Amino acid sequence: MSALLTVQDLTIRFGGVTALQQVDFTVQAGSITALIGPNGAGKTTVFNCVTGFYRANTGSIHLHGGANGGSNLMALLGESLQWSDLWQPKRLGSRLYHKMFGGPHRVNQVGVARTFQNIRLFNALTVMENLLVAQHNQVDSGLLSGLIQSRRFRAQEQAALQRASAWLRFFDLLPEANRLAGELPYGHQRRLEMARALCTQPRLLCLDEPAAGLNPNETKALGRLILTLRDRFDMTILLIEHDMGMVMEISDHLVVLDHGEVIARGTPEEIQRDDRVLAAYLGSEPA
Amino acid sequence: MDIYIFGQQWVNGLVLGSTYGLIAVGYTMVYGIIGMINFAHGEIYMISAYLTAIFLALLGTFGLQSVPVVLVLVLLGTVLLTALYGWSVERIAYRPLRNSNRLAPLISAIGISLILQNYIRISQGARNQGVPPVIDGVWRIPANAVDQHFVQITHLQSLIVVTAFASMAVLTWIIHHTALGRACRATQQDRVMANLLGVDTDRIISVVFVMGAAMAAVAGMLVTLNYGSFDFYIGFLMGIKAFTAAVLGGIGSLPGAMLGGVVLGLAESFFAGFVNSDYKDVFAFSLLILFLIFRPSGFLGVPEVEKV
Repeated sequence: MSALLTVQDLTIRFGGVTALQQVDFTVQAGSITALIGPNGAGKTTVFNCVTGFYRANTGSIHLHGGANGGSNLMALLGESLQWSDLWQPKRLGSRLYHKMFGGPHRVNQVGVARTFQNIRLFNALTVMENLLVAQHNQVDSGLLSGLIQSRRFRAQEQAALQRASAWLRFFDLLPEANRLAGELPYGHQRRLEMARALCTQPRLLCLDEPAAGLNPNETKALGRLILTLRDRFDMTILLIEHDMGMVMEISDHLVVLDHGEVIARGTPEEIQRDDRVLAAYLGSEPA
Repeated sequence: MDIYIFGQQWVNGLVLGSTYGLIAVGYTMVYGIIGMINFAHGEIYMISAYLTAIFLALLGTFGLQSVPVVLVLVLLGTVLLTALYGWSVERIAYRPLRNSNRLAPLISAIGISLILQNYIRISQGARNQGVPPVIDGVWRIPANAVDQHFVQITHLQSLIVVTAFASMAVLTWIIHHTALGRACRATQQDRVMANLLGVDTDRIISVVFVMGAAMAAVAGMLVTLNYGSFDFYIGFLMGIKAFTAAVLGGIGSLPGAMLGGVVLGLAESFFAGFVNSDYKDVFAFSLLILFLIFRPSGFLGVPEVEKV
């Protein structure tokens, strides 16, 4: 196994509050890694940094492998220029480029996709359109080719439709393809959001509390679904979840956060025996 | 009431309204995607009037005689250059303020509108400018009428209505049937989410400004050919009228902009024809106020529901 994502020394402050303090962890390729911790521990903040939603103050986030042999996700967001760039024209050029054209869309393009704790679908678009938007980079989006419906455009659009249908079938949503996303029942919206994230063809899928609001049966089914994604599609998954039953059952590796710091990492068995984790959850002082 | 005067007001209103609609599209699309009123849009329209005159003169000096060829070339040139203006305005005045509070880009818009007005005033002079009539010819209904008993439609008026509705149809088609349009609709609903799904939302916003400016350019060219005269200040009134049209139709809605434009044009021309032509602007803006009070979501806008 090799590392797919390496997060080092990640620190982010909002005004005087340090939300994350030197967070370090790695996600192995093909694994399910869960990020757990009490409320307010900074789990979602880690997600926001990894997916490019926030820009961290210091630290580095690297996604390994892929077409260009690895990417520094923080650089893709556009870093601020420094005096030392003046005698390093190559770095200056890349920083200027990313300042102009960088942003969260670049992070997605190198292979990170996410879902949200509170579902964020395009409610006024149909289920199928939601999935097609997610394939924006796989379809020729030029004005002219779309206007004249060039052969290339139609072929790519067809391929995108097929990929979308495949994921809809996987999540058992195919009969709903032409309904508006906003009118789907809650559980279906959750699955649609996962399908949409998968349509961007990610290498790392970040799921923010996918089981929130699901009943025990649905949670079980979701756990099986996530395992299938890992086993059948070689997907690497980073997960935030409060449902400890599901977390302990499906994850290969756990990272425990408390007050913005990593207090433990390890397999589910190790974490269940860890005193500091128990203390963080139950509130007693570690001996 | 004279049936012919009545008919004539329909014609005038439709012609006026379709140009309002074309400009209103720019307001409504920009509002839909970044939630701001682009007050510099009227100036973009004004610039397109100047560009039309410049291209007409340019083609005239080359000795081009064929009217359809001249019109198509002028249209292409005007639309392309005006779109460039629209793109630059967004790039320079709005994008740097993208993540600041909502008031900042609004003030920036007023600033850029003043800059554009004065740039034209200095470079082109403050005097009224004009273009010679390119298309003449009228249809009269009935054709063999005597005295004032007929409805008159100039060839240019019919061209205006046809072009306006054709451009609207093309635009609507782009929004609904291309990958670019799909990304526009997604960005309109949730910009951050679209960005996280790999859509370069800055590019989409640029495209929206370019499309809005292109529509304003079509309107600018048609109106200039129709009235023949313009100055550096026409953008203000036209811009506010088109904004009224966008609000009437439901700001954020594309068919609403066209509907609002036509309704406003008709209302204005009926008021001018049957009540008082001096107060037609007062009437138009009274409509705006009435709508803002009693139906702020306009004809086709969906009222915003605050989720609890």
